[in-house]
Amino acid sequence: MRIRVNGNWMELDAETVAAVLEHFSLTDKKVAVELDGVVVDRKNWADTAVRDGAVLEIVQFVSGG
Amino acid sequence: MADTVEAKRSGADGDAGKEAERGDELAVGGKILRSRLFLGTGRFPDPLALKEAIAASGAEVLTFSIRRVQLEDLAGDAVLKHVDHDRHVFLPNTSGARTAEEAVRIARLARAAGAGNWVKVEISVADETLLPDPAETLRATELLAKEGFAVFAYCSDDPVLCRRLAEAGAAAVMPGGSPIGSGLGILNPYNLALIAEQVRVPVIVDAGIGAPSDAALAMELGASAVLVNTAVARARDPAAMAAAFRRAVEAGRLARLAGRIPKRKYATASSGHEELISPPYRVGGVPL
Repeated sequence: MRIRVNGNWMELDAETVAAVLEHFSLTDKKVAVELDGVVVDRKNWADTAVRDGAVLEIVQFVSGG
Repeated sequence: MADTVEAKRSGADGDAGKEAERGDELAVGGKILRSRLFLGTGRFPDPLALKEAIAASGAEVLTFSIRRVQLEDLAGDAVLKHVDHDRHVFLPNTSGARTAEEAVRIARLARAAGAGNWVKVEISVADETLLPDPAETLRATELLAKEGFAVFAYCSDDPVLCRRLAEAGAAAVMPGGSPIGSGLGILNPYNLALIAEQVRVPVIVDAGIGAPSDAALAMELGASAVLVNTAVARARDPAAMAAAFRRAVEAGRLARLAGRIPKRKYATASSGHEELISPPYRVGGVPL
């Protein structure tokens, strides 16, 4: 399955948002996820399907003013 | 070392200052704050310097940005390791947004990442000055306030705009003293005083603060709080500068509450003229 994560297209066998985050070891990190332009709350990660061609953004807090 | 200095000084200050400040908390965005100094977390030389500056500043509110996770370098920005989540309030900004819609998108992500419902709306298309876009900022404030966000609107120091932002539902307005990171201080004290006088929500001076004296002036002019970042982060000794800002904000606040004297053109003797041992003389030594 081909998906785009943070701007990079990649082959990844991950059926759900939770599986994508697990792949990147981000499950326990303070991150937020957007799937095809819509924020997916943490409680819905496991139930939200990721389809071929999906576009994900995974963001975090960084230092800033 | 800064911690030691801090501890000694707060002991030496005695209880008078504490008495005066008791009951002077700042209510904003549904929270009660004791510190009127907000600290930005950007541009510090290293995470330890940030940690020490946070401690020395006494700040309860810390700002952050939202960026993509670096998938190939997960250790990347370790800034949050040094933040005590129970003691500090997160104020994520929408830096990078160029439109109201982009700001809304970033705000939603910040909330989903666990920042609570506070957001500092920061929208700029002026790459050289980073001055905020008033029209997009007003629109984003309306949209986000309707979604239940406590909106802290970073804006230009325009009294009318600040009133419009408050009417649009901003929890606080954050007029800039001067462009971000410029250190030019409060370029328009007249406007800032008007904003503090006319806007019903807290006024938090953001951007351009270069030295503690700028922060004290902002508070004397009636600001509710001050947000500082670069002036601390890029100081030779960030922790010591953070301690200086802490005192400056407290001093400015106390001065505001104490009521400064009006400015006069001519002198007013602070020692009385009555019963002088020698009579007053005119210029040239001729007795009156």
